[in-house]
Amino acid sequence: MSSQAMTNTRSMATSAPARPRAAKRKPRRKTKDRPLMVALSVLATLLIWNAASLLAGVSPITGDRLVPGTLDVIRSFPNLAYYAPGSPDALLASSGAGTSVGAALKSLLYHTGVSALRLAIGLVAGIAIACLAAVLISWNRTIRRAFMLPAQAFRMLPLLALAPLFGIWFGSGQTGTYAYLAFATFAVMFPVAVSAIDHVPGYYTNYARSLGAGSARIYLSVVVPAALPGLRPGVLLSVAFGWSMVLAVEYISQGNGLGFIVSRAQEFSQINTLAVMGCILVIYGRFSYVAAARGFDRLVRWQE
Amino acid sequence: MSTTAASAGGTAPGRRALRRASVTGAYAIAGALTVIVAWALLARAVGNPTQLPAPGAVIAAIQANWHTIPAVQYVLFRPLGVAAAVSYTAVNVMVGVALGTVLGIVLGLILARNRLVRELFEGPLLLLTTTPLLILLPFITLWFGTDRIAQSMLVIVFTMTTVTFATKNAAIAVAGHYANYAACLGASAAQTLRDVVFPAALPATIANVRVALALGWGLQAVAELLGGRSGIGRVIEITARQQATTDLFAVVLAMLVVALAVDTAVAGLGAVLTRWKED
Repeated sequence: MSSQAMTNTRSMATSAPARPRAAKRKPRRKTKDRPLMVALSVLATLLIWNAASLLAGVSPITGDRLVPGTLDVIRSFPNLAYYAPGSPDALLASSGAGTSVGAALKSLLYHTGVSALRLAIGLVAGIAIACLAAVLISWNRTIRRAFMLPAQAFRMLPLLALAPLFGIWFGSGQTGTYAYLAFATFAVMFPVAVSAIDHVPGYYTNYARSLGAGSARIYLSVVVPAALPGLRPGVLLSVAFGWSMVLAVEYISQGNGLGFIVSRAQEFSQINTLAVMGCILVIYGRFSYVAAARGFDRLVRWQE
Repeated sequence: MSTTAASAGGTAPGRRALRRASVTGAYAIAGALTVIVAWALLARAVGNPTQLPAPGAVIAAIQANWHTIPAVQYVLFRPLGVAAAVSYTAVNVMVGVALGTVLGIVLGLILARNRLVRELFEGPLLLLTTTPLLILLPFITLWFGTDRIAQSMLVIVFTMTTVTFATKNAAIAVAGHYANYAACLGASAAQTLRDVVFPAALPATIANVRVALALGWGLQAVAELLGGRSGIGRVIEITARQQATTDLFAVVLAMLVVALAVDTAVAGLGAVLTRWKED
């Protein structure tokens, strides 16, 4: 999860003025060096990772490395097959009994599908409800200002820890999972949506009014569309944070999904499987973030 | 004592600021009251305190559970109250955010000032910003156990990554124009960093510290919920298992009040530190 989105936006909003045009131009050497620097960066990361793995030693209980190295991760990938639906037990993964990469891939695809579906439903529902609520509340400036504090308070709820509460309300079925994810997304998105509408420049409204548009038309045709680009940090934060929320709810109360694998792997001290899941989640997190950023930019490509 | 003309003139902006603060405060109270009334009406409609307790019952529970929450004592065999749980979490969050901020500022300035370090380590750090941090929790527990500082590790990592990129972006933005200007005036590299680059990066850093602080409560609570010995996460886990919803709401509400107070304090400190900033 995280905050690249917030970092980008806030730093743009608050940092010092941009450099002069001449200073912005990239030197030719930099572009030429780029692939080399990326390769060096990957190499340096792998080097540090494997050095840490060697230095950290092995677990006295399981005999596995405390920090699994690159080869440990690759070798442990087939263990994911033990988490396939209907498989005997994850405990078998500790026994060292091998299994095929194909079966592991099938298992991974199944759990990825389950988690991705939960994430998608939660995100869509949460973002839609948050935007709708923000549009309704922001209609009136007084109401909008009054809701600033509750919106701020929403942001500070210990969202990741509230999954058990939804268990009380909805049981451990899918409804509770979707409701929790939608609520958590709402809490992240709502303050951003209210703030986006609040920051629409006043001259947009004045310009439309001088052309004879009525209040309702100005709000729906000018203010709401103009606020759309401002939703970007909220959407990106929701996507990045969403993976952690899905993991939390699956870790605590679900019998499938990527969080379930993490929970079982931790239960049986399968450090290598945890490392495999870590690598997979790093890729998923980055991929979904980039996809959401590009999708959103395409949606608001009309903005200046 | 009489007031001089100068001081009288000086109080006008102060009075305006006070009036603005009063209006904002009135709006905040109205908003909070609206939410409380809606909550009370919903609780009455549900009619089951195990599902949704009324606001009055929750406030009474904060008072009654201040020193000991019976549902929690029953499980832990030791007293743990709202005050102790909230202060445990609050201290962990604040220590985590403070450590993460210091690390983030240092890393951000290094990334901004050294091109080679930036090219080598910006990519992996960027990857960390989009990684679901919860996956780090099992590793943290395995490597560092359930110590207090280990519990704050998620908050430290999150704050560090957030602040690093904010500081780096802001420092790079001023590195060309303002740094050259300072160099022309005879400033050394260290002086430029201390008196030009760092202050210019401060507004973005503080804004991101507030973001990290807001989300830090959730990260800290989930770390406590999945393996902590105290704190609101532990209380939420136990009270949810026992369906003591009123106690659960009580600890969350108390935490919210503290979180808002801390955020207000940080925002105030930020306003003082960046009072030179143009609006």
